[in-house]
Parts: sequence; structure tokens; C-alpha cells
Amino acid sequence: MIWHELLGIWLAAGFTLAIYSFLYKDNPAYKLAEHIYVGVSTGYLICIAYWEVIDKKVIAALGQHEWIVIIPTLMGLAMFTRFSKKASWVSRIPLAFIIGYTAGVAAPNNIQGLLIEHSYATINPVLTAGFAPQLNAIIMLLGVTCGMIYFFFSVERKGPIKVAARLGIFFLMIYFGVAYGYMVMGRESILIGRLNFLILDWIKPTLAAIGRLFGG
Amino acid sequence: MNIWERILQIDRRYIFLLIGISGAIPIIMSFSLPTFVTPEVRGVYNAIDALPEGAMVLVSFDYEPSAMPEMDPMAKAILRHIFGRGLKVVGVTLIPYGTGIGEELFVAMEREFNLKQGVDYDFLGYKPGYQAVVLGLGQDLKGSFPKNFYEQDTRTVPILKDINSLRDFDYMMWLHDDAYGGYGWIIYGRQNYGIDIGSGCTAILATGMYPFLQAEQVTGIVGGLKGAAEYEKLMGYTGSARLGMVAQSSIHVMIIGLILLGNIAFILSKRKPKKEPSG
Amino acid sequence: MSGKTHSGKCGFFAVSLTVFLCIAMATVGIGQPGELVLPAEFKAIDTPHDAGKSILLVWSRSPSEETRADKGLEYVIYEATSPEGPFKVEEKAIVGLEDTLCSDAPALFGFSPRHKNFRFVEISQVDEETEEVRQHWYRLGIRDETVTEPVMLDTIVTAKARMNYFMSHRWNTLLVLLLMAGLVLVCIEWAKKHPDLFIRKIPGIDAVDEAIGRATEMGKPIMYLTGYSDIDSIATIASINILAHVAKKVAQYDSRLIVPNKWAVTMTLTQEVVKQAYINAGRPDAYNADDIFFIAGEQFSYVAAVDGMMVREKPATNFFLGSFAAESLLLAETGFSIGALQIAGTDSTYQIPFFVTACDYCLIGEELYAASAYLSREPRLLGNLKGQDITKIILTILILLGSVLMSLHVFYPEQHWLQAIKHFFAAL
Repeated sequence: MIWHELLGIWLAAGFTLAIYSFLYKDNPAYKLAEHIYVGVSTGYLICIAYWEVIDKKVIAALGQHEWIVIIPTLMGLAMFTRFSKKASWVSRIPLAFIIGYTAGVAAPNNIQGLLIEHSYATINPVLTAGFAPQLNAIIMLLGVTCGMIYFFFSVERKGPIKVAARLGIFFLMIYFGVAYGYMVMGRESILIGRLNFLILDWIKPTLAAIGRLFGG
Repeated sequence: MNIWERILQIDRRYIFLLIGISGAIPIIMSFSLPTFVTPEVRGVYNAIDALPEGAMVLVSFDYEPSAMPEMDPMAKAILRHIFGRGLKVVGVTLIPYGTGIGEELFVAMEREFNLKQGVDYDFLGYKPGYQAVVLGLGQDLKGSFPKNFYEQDTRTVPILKDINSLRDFDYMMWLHDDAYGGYGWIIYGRQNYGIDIGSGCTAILATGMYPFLQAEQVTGIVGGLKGAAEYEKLMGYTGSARLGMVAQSSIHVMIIGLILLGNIAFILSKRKPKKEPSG
Repeated sequence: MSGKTHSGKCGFFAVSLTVFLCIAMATVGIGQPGELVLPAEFKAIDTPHDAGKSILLVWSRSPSEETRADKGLEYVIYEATSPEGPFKVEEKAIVGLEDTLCSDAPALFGFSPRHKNFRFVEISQVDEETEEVRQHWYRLGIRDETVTEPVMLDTIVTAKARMNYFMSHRWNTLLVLLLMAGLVLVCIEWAKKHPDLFIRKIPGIDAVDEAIGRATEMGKPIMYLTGYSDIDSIATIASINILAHVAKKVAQYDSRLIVPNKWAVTMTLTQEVVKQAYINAGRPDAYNADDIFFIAGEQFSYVAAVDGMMVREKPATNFFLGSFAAESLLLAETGFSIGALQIAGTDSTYQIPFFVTACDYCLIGEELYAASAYLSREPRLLGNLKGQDITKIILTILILLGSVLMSLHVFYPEQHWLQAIKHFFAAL
């Protein structure tokens, strides 16, 4: 193994253990790892932002006389006016653009992609051939409508609304339970990834190397 | 304090240790368990399998390094399927961290399948603004990405010769650890440019993707390490996902055991006052 | 050769197609078994809601489709650069019987059951060499394996490809958007006249004052996180609205507010909002911009830093309001371990179980959006909430009614109007 690969593995293992040491209690090793992690990830982000955005999309475009990129570049630069008390109002212009653009693009597409398409998928015959599809359709319909009733805010919870809202939270809790299960799996995967690295890439080769050293 | 009360007040660090040990043992011992393929994963597999040779697939690497343990085995299995079938891939990412991840995967696939950048695959790289990027790719791919990740002019890259917008792709694989841009690829890409999408996501996101599957907005879902293991099974090899699932099952057994123990302890510790003499 | 031509205009598309369908319906079905019978009608129209690069050729189904389907029956489109010809056939303009019915393309033709009697093909009008849009003329032929040359229809058709500014098939989206916006505007006006508008209790939000008071009494800071998403997330915007209320209370109670951000833009906005809240509370001097800062863009480095900060600063109260992902439990668990009172709320539904487990109060999904209206009792936000409620009521009724009608459609399949609500929600 090349020495810099070895160094990389030892550094990664050391930082993994330093971060996991937080499970025992907060300590200097964790603080060191935390600060380096924050610094490295921010530095990486800056590099990517420079080479992928500023260099390729601004400098290269200007080099090809695509003057239109000046407008978004100026809007981006306007964000830096926040450092000046007098000129900080200028930064509101790009902010207003971002918020306005996002809302304008998102509204029709979200209505189409989430509200309309998902409602379409929910409207199905509840009386169909076969017990299982029929049960599925009824559960789906009840879940969607009662879930929606739970989120009525300006209607007092009395009578049938109260019953439907109760049923709605019941469906929501089932969903949360399923989501919880998946989430735990996700967490475990991260742990397994690290354990894999520590055991297979670090401990085993190290033990093998020690064995070779002392065993000839 | 009896034993049940002691169990209820156990220092949580012991639980961390138990979980760690139950995850480590299967990795050290390396044994295997059967994998069952779900229709959600088969939906993605079948969609890719049905594409004709030479078809164009867009792959978006929208996950951060922290999701790599879950996502990398999945990405590798899917890319192996795609390249193994002789399909062509154009990569892109909506997040800055996706550049490193995408490049690394392409390099690995290049070695494995003897691919040529620009002919068998290309990587467009990163551009900020989720919705704007998807809409830009839908309208004018080369205008939106004048240069690819390798600093080449996209108008001169052979694989992109007939690719002008999202409409020119036969399929898209969205590998993601979040709903970037409010499910941008689905809401803006599929909806406006009619591209069929398969979702490969972290386990955490999988439940949130089911409404999209029901509405047929995605052809299937490969969710987390389990989904990756199923894909490996469909591909006929045992990779890090299937090995990882053994460790995951072992942790599940430990968690279920701890939950049962905690509940039993809770019930038995509550019973105690009733048994005491009233005085 | 007849000189009869047709030209389609998108504006008259629906009307002209209906008339055309009626005429064609009357003439279909007159073929004799054993002979290739030509379609009764053939016409060209501009492809609706496209970029002006293609046209559609539409014709009524030949009666021979019924009698000679097993003999490889297909339609052939002939193209010419002028009405006089010569007409040439191209491979891509050979139309089989699969997926070519007008009823297979509701985005172009709608859901009328009559469309299953017509076939169509989309023909590009872009010249492959010059890439310019031009106008060509077309004839229709029909053939099967029993004939050597296609039988030709005399009709010659053409249409000009036009760019359409509106995606007319998305009328349902426009209608829903207008309905929602209209209802919200009406309700805002109504809320201005009725400021005592009823809003049901949201337990987590009722506890905000208690949480801030607790922190003040303990002399410890309050930590407020706007979540994992950038400003394009509605949850982040809702969170920033609530932050304004929290910041004002914090300023009044003379406590300390820490706001670590994951995004540069949210940092800028939160600084702005907190500063304004301190000014509104009459305490501009107490505002400290250094307490509202950017940490890191990467998810887990952000979490590592916030967790570390929590352990060191030991805030008495934590607010986790916004869109959250995998970091939710890591944050809430650390907050729990230091004994902070925690109020969480997110629209990331798969994170709610963790907040329910580790926090004292949890706002579920839309409750987060409602909270800002509940707190401020501003007519604009109250009206917004009321308008959304009415939209939800309408949607609930439509879904229920649609399901009932679809169930009836199983028993009365010829009653196509029973599918009307389902078709309204079709995303074409």
C-alpha cells in the first residue's frame, strides 16, 4: 500500500473514533474532529463553488463574450453589500429575485405535480373486483380524507370532524411508524459503513501487518 | 431499586456499545442471509432492462458524502446494470458534493467496463439553483452546461451530439439523499419534459417517495441499503450492500430485543407498588 | 388530385375537432369485408401547446381495421414540399395500430370517448439540414400484406406549425391556482373585518412563551434552527415567520437568541428578521449579529457543530422549526441530553417520529405553517389559513365524490361523465 493511502486510512480511522467518542462524552478529541470537519467541508464547498460556478459559468462565459452572465454575477456580488451598513439595502434586490423566482416557478409546478397528480392517483373505484384492491382503495381514501381533515385549522373539532381528525392522526401515526423504521435503517447503514471501514480497511490490514512484522 | 428499575435507568452508553458490537460481529465473521426482491426495486431494474442498447440514461448524483455508505453500493449496482447493458450515461449533480461522488463512480466504472469518457459516458458536473438547472436542461442542455466537468465544450462531446434537452434521454436515474428543489427532477423534469424517472434514495427518504410511485411519477424506488442489496441480488452478485444487510439484520435483532426488554421492565416495575402491603 | 386543404389553428382546435369528429362519425363503418376501405376523414392541425415544431395528422379509423387487422394493416403518410407533389413516403410516417388512437393521447385531444375512432401521427416540420420550420403537404394511404401498393386517399392536407404560448392542456392547474389564490384573497379581506377568526389550538405554539420565560429565568440562551433547507423551502419561510415572533419575545424578556444557519441566504434573512424584531420590541441595542451565523453547508458537519455548541452553551430552550432531514434525531437527542425544553416542527413527515420521541412539543406538517398565523393573528396570515382550509374542504369533497363516481363507473362503463372528476385531476 502506498504510504499516502496508509496515512489517509489512519487519519480517517482516527477521526471516526474521535467523532464516536462524543457518545461517551464531549471531549477535546471530538472538538478537534468537529472543527476540522466543519473547516474541511466548508473549504471543499468553496473550491467547488469557485471551479464549477465562478470559473466555468462566469469567467469562461465572459471569455466567450456571453455578456448576459454579468447580470446574475452582479446580483450575486450584491449579496456582499451586507458588509456595509449604508449599502446593505442593495442585497435585498437579489434576495427578492430569488424568493420571487422560486415562488413563481414552484407554484404551478407543485400544484400540478403534487396536488393534481396525487389526487388523481387517490381517486379510484372503491367497489372493484377482489377483496384486497377494494380494501386498499378504501384505506387509501379514508387515510387521505381523514388526514386532510386533521389539518383543518379554522374549523372547530366537534362531532364528525373530531372523529375524522382522530382517525386522521391514527393514519399519520402509522405513517410515522413506517418512516421511523426506515430512518433507523438509514442510521444503521451509516454505522455499518463506518464499521466496515474500521474493521476491513483499518484493523484487519493493521493486524496483518503486525503479524508479518513479528511472525516474519 | 430492583433489577427492572435498574434496566429502565441503564446508562445509554451501554446501548450504544451493544449496537456497535451487534453490527461489528457479522462484519468480522462475514456470513450471509437471503435477500428478497420487492416490486419497487424491480420497477427500476425492469425499466433499465427494457431500454434498447445505446439508449441514453441521465444519472443525477444528488447525495452528500454522509450518505455514501447507503448510496454508493446502490449507485454502483445500478451503473453496472446500465453499462453492462451497453447503455450510455450522462451524469449531472444538483449539489456541490455530487461532483466528487459522480467522478469517483465514473472512474470506477471506466476501469470495470473499459469505458471511454465522451463516448460511453459524460459528466456535466454541478450548477447551482435546483429548479433552474432542471428547467435549463429541459430547454437547452448545451446552453445550460456549455462545458462539462472535464472542461470540454459540450457541443464537441460525441455522446452529446444528439442530446439537446431532457426529452432526448430515454430514462433518468435520480440518486438522492434529499428532495432537492422540492423533488425537482419529478416536479420540473418529468412533468414538463416527459422523462421517465427511477428513484434511488436513502432509506430515510423512501417512505416519502411512495406517493410518487403510486401516482406513477417514478417507475420504482431503490430505498437505502436494503434496496441496494435487492438490486445486487437482481444483478447476481454479492456486494457491500448484501454484506451490510447482514450487519443491519443483526442490529435489528438487538434493537427488537432491547425494545422488548425495556417494555417488560417497564410493566414489571409498575407492578411492584401493587404487591407491597398497604401497611 | 383534389386541391382540398385544411389548416388548423390552435385557438379553434377544440371546436373544429368536435365538428370534424361528428362528420366523421357519420361516415365511418361503411366498408365491405375483404376490401381496403379508406378513412372517411383526414386533416392536419397544429400540435397544441408545443414550441411550434410539429403538426398532427388526424384521420378516422378505416372500417378495414375490423376486418383485416390480422393482415398487417397500416397507414402510410406521404409528404410533399408543395400541394402539387411529388408525394414521397418516409419510414417514420408508417403508422401501425398500436398507441396511435387519439384517445391514447389525452394531452393532445382530451378525454372524449369519441376519440377512440380516430388515429393520429405527429409530424416534425423542422428541416433536418437547415433546422428551420417549414410547411409541407400530406396524403394518407392504407395498405396490408395483400396489396403491393397502398390505396391512396385523394385529400391533401397541410397545417402551419405555430409556437403556443400557453400549455392549454394544463387548464386544470390554472383553475386550481386561481381558485386557491382567489379564496385566499377573499378570506384575507374577510379576516380584516373579522379579526376574531377561529383557529384551533396548536399545543406546541402555546408553549413558546413558557419556553422563552424558562430560558430567561435560568439565565441561559435560546437556540433556534430554521432547518436543513434553503430559502426555497416553504417550511423555512414559515420558520422565519415564527422566528420573528420568538425574537421579539426574546428581546422583550432580555434573553439571548442563538441562530446557527446551514445556508448563507437563510443566515442573511434570519439576521434581517431578528434585527427587525429587536427594533419592533424597542431593543435595537440588544441585537447581536454575531449570534446569527453560518456554520457549514454539509449536513453532518453542521450537526456536529450545532451539537457541540449545544453541549457547551447549554441552551435552556431549543426550537427546531423548518425542514429537517437525517440530522433531526441527532439534534433533538443532544438537546434532550442537556435537559433543554424543546419545541420542534417540520413538514418533513419522516422526521416527525424523532421529534415526537425527543422533544417536548412537536408541530406536525402543516401545523408549522399554521403556527405563524396563530402567533401573529395577522389578518393576512389568518385569511391565508382560512383560504387553504376551504381549498382542503373542496379537495376532500372532490376526492370523495370522485371515488364514488368511479365506483359507479365500474357498473355503468358507458356513462363516461362518471369519470369527469378523475379526468379533471389528470396531469397531462
